Amino acid sequence: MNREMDCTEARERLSDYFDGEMPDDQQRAMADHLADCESCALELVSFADLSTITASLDHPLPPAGLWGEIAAQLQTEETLSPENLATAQPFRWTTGRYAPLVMALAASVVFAIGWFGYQSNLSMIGNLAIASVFDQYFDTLHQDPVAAQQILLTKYDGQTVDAENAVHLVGYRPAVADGVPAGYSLHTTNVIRMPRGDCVHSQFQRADGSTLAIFEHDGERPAWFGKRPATQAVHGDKNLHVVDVDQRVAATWRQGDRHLTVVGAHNAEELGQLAGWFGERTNLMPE
Amino acid sequence: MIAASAPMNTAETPDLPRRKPDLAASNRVQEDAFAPGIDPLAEIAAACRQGNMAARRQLYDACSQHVYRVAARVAGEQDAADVTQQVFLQAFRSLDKFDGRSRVETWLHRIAVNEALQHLRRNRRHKHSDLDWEPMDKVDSGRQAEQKDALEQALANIDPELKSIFLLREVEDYSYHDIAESLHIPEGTVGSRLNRARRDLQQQLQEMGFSRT
Repeated sequence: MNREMDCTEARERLSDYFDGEMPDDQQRAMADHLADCESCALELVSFADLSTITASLDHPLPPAGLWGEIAAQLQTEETLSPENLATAQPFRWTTGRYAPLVMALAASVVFAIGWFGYQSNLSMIGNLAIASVFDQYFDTLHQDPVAAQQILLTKYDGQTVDAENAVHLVGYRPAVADGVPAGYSLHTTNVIRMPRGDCVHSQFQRADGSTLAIFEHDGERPAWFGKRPATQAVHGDKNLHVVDVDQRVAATWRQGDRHLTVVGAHNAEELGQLAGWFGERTNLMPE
Repeated sequence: MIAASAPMNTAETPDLPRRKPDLAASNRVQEDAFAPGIDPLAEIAAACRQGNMAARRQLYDACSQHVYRVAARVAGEQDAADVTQQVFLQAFRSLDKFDGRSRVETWLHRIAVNEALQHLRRNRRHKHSDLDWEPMDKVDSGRQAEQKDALEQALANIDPELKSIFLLREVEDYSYHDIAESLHIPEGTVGSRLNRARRDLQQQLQEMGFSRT
């Protein structure tokens, strides 16, 4: 004899039945219930409708070059892995009449490879070092902005200036010298000698006492954010590279001839307002 | 009585609407050709562990469409390539830790869902109406396209975990067992979560005028 199923149980088990994940005896009880219950049967039909629409969804395919990027990344990682360096085969020296020529050529090649490898490693190590300093800066900014500023001033040659006088050090008038958005007060401005060029670093206080930092610099500085993934967003005519920094958000965008990097924004809305405000200021400036 | 829009067969073997395997799932690795319990990708995975690039390429070719689909549906198409890249890099780096208790494909999908969900969580704070995000391409027209758009919109609004379960079932044709394994949830909760996902989606479609029930 078949067991009976009521609406409560049928509704709880509807997906199990629809997906064919129900033991036979329960399927029979469910089928009997559905034959007598219009509302449960209609819901089953709605599941089937949903399934039909889902089946019609487009299924995007991975872009053609994606494997190439993955393979390149894997090869880079493996070339630099400590295991690989440790197991590298020693050179076997050649002998015979061409030995001096071979050795001279080999020496040139080794020197060239060594030089480029050295430069590339220097650049990688440099980026890691910068990311590490900025990690400390990001970690400290919210709790103790003065200490955060000191991290940069200690690590890199820098000095505190007023926004007007920064122009003598960096050769341009910083964006913050023309005022700040409503709701922020300028706390300090420094010029910091960074490896890839000077930047103007300013800290602002919001009405609630929290801190926002803005860097103005030539070129993008992705190394500051280490391996944090960036998302691209568009505000008006500006492309923002947005990065999560702990509980806050940071973003970089091109502003005139230079780039602005905001650190410590609450959310995308604040970033949008700042990008808009600085954009309007630039548009008002005489050429 | 049952409404006319829901043809029901109340004979001894009722012909009630049941889910049919999805076409997209036909691209999955053909497990049926192998004895039960034998993972067709296990050998390829073993070669990948030795750093064999050809084997890695084989694993990518076998699974990238599914991984990309999960990434696109959960994290959004604009971020799908980044998520897919991270998934495969992470998989190749951690193949040593793969214990072989699940199928390679399930293990890879677990990484894909986790990575896509993490990506979504990381980026959720960035999303605001003031910033425009790249839209997905729209190539269809008419009622079907509107219906698909409505479903895309509804999928974007439901809880990401529910969305993942729904997509693994409906698009990837995963069994409840595989869904539970992929998402590290008890198998007994898959059905009830699918109920919630389907009801949430259906309600949204209804509100957008795309439901007959």
